[in-house]
Amino acid sequence: MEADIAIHANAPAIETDSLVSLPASRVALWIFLAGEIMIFGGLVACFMLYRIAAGGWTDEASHVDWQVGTINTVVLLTSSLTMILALAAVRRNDQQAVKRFLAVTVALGIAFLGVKAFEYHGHIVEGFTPSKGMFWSFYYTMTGLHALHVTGGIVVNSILLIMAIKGTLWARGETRLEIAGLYWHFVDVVWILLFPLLYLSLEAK
Amino acid sequence: MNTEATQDTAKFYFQIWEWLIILLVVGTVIVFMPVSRGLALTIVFAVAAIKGVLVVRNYMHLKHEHLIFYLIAGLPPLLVIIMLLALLPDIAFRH
Amino acid sequence: MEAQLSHIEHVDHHHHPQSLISKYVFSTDHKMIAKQYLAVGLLMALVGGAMAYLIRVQLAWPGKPVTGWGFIAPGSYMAMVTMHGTIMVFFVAMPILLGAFGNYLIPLMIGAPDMAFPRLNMMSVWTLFVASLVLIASMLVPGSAPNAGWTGYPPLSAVPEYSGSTWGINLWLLALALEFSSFLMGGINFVTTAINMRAPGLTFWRLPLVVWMEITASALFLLSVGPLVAGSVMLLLDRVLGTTFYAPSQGGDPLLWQHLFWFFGHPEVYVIALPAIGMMMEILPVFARKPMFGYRAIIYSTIIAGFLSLIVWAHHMFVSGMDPRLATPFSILTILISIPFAVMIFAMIATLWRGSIIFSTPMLFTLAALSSFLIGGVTGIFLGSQAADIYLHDSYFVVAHFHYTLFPLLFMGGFAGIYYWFPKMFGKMYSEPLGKLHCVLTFVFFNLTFIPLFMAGFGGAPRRIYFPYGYDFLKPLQHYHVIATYGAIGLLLGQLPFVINLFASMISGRKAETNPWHANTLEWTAPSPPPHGNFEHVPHVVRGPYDYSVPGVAEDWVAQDKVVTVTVAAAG
Repeated sequence: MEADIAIHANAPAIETDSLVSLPASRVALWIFLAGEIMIFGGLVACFMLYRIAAGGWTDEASHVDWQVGTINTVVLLTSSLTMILALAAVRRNDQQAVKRFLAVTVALGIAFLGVKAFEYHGHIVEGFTPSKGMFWSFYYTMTGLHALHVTGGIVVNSILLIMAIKGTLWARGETRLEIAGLYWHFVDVVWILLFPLLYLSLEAK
Repeated sequence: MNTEATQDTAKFYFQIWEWLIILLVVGTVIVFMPVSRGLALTIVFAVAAIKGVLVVRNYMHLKHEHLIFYLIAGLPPLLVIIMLLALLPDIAFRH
Repeated sequence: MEAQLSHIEHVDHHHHPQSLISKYVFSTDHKMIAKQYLAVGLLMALVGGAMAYLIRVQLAWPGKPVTGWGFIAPGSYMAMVTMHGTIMVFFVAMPILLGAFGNYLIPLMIGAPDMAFPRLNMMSVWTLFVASLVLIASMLVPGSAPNAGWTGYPPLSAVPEYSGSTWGINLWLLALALEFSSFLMGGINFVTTAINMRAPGLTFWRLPLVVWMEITASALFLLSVGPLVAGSVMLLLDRVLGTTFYAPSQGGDPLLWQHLFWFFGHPEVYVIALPAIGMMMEILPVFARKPMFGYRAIIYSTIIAGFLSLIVWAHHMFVSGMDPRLATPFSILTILISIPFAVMIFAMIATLWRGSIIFSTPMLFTLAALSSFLIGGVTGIFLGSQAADIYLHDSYFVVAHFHYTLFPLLFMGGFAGIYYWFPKMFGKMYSEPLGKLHCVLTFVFFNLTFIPLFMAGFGGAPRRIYFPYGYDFLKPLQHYHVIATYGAIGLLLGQLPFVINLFASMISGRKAETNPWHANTLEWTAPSPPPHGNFEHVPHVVRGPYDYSVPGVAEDWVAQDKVVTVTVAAAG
């Protein structure tokens, strides 16, 4: 008696893992964001540790203007809205709307940086430089690193805007806007955390 | 292409934005209300967390994504918290 | 299958003639990029090795001029120690084990034409080039070269007046930042490629172990480097802007840097270790003609070890003045992490058991690495116990321990990989006699160098002492340094056969066949060397990677994409 045994043979049926159907660029960007979370998370953790050790920084923090911070938060939240609307527009194939929303996002990003620059200038003029103490060390480092990321986002979005105007965006426009959007929203989420940390939590009496 | 995410409309995104602004106002105003500092801080950071979740789930479409993304995005904050807890005795509570 | 390929960026399947510049300098082909990483790693190894020579000669004959250099000033000694460590960990180990082998092997072993993001890949190797140049520059600028140790502890690293290094340490920090970016980009590429671009039939449970190791290492790197990036920014700003993060007089804490550094530093050594172990696990089955023992156990162990490695870091800080209550939990976790590694070692030994061993050069290097790493691993257990570490910390025992783990994995394991995949990478066979000579010299002189250092450390010799004669209690231990230095000189000279073999074989070695080792994994189905795009047709995988000596099959190997039907005669 003979039996035919095929060893592990499944030649006709192709097995793969279900993850294979995920678009590579989204996987990649989320992995990148995981790394970024560790960077900002590390910085925030250090801030909290030193904050507890110092017993609060209400004196220094009183020089940080919560109203300006609130304005900047509104600016960034709105820019997230316009960014996602740009993505929705590309899915509708509404090229004009894409350009409009991208332009507004870039403008709001620049506005955010402008407000930040105005703030920095105000602090420095009053003598609150990074070397002034632990609170200011953190304030400049955290908002500075965040501002660098905002700048990067502005650059990316500006490139997409230029491509939209020149007409070269549309070949893979949805993916590009999705990835740029993910990055931009992440930068927004970081600010959502930084705002209460630096502007509000030290304000509470 | 994320076919589920394409069903979110502009109107929906706008509604999320409205909620974000409302939460922003709540979180900012509570600081000046006559409540205890502990309560104020809890509300401020709870508000921040909710805002963050709103953006991540709805603008970043995490709610439509495969569960593995929750792992990719969720593991780092967990690690940061572990690091923070381990460092508390040394850095925060050092005399 | 085609849908899979559409996810990757445009891959050039046409063979138009490429200019020299675009083929070698601006290549996006993962195989060329891998060789570029290998070149950087090997060149920097020369610099790191030169540092080792200078350090060892100074230690054996303190105060005497070193042949080929002259007198070593105390300040220079610290710079050499710093640069030796920085170069070996960040500019040799990472580029060779992750950059070169990760890049070369992952697409080939999963049946993909290239990485998911070829242009990002090119950017990552270019970032490493720039990082290397910045590091070299840091040794040439006014003021001292970086001299605060590869660990860069403040206040020494934070205050230029203490170290004498202004631009040196600033550029060191910049070089590290660039290196981290390079490997973050690479890591993203590796993980995405391995998740998304596997050939049909290649489930995760059929992946070769080295691919598992490369992606675990990449994920580990990604997760652990963030806080150090934050900490390095803080250190740089302390130096440049006068922030107070690590300044004790202004509320800062130097200990914070140690925590942030080792939070990354410990996972980092496993980032380096895992790919090397993976390569050894590819080589062992091939030259024992036996399946890799305990495939799933190894994978689970790898994941557990990876996770545990993130929560053991403070075993580097037992005597730092940190809260003593932290010592016990970290000690226990450190001892625990020896378990998954023990599983891996036992699995490797079990693979050899009753195998038909072929003593080729890759196998010899793998065996050398395995035995030496075992010594390194068990000595780590002493160091992981906080009580023993109080005596052993900062002694030469530590130096011997980490050289017994890092050197076997990076160099012996790395050489095993280079020899094993040499035919595939360069299409030529290397010289077996020269390879064997290289192995014997490396193994003998490595042990001669570092066994004495265990003794010296156990006898109380501290690290980073420039002039051992300055201390009476060190005089009886001085002969260990002399033996170690003879070993080191022999070790460095013993690399000459490798250099000769590498270039001579590349130029005029015997032409290699597609599968000279009769190995199962997919890279051996592509030509030697593979063309742009790797595979003529996408392979369809039907089995795991270690079907060697399968009962009932005529040949003692069955490739991953080979369908086999076996006829068995039943009794009666």
